[in-house]
Amino acid sequence: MTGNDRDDKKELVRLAEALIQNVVTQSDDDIIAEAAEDYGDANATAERMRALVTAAANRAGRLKLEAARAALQGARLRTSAQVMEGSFEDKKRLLLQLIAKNKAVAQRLTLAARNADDLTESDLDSMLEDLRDLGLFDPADMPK
Amino acid sequence: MASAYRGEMTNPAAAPPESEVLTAAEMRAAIAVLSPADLLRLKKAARLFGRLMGMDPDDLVQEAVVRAMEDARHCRRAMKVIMFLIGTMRSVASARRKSADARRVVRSVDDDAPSGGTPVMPADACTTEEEHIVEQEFWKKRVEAVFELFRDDEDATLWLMARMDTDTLAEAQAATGFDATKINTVGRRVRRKVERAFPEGLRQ
Repeated sequence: MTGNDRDDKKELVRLAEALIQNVVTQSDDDIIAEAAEDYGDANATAERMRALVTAAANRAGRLKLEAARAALQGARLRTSAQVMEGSFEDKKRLLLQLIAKNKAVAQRLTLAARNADDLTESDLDSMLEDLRDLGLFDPADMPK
Repeated sequence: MASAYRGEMTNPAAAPPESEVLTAAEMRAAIAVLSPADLLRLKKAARLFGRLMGMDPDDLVQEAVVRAMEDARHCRRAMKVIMFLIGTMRSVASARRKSADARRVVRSVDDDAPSGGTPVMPADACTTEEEHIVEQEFWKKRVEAVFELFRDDEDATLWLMARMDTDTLAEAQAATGFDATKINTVGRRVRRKVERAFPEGLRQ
């Protein structure tokens, strides 16, 4: 054919595609007979392929699960960051407002916590996150 | 039938409505019940395409399955899953080849030589002019080797020339003047001989 390597390779790619088109048009019986000629045991060859595709399908499932976990983790981190955006005083004020407005919140807290006494910023963040997870406040309500 | 797998993967703009396409779970279930004949078709396709495009055939199958599950939404319910998988395989292999070609930089052996010294080995993504010429020669000889298999078979030679020069079966049929039955029969004869001569594919 031509002396250009791109053309030669392209022609081989076209040939491969043409041969694959031919593969898909053959009957199941013909394909199985060919495999028996080429590999001896067509069923065993097919089962090896089944193991290969099953492993890949399982891998795809794991990848999807990992992606979902990563997305969830990302969302949690974003929300946590949102909770922690306010100043220490803002957070303390918010906690006291939540306690005042909601008996359920008060019942879940110790006396010291209810008064927001001796709480560090980390304690406040943790409590606000817990209250957010319980659905008792929306981080969007946090004073800016 | 044969052109369906090509068109489906090369026209993403024609995305069908959700009700007409498979979900990932349905794709997974369909893959799990592929018939022995379809699994063997997948093997043949991977052998023909894999190494030619620079991929191990088994890796290509696995990557195509993973991609098919991710892209299940592009598989119409009316389409045979094996066709979709083979189309996906083609797409994966083409993308891999294009990516490898894009990374490749052909440079002169002299570019790597310290002044007056011995040339050093180029980086992975690069190839020297010398390597490029060797590869060029390889493809040329491989095409010649394929034609050599059919030296005494005029129909097969005509089929090969047509299929290497055109993109579709219809174009090849017009170029050869073969009817649908003949182009398929000659095609099968060519395929079987090529499969036996190059059991690991056209770049083994």
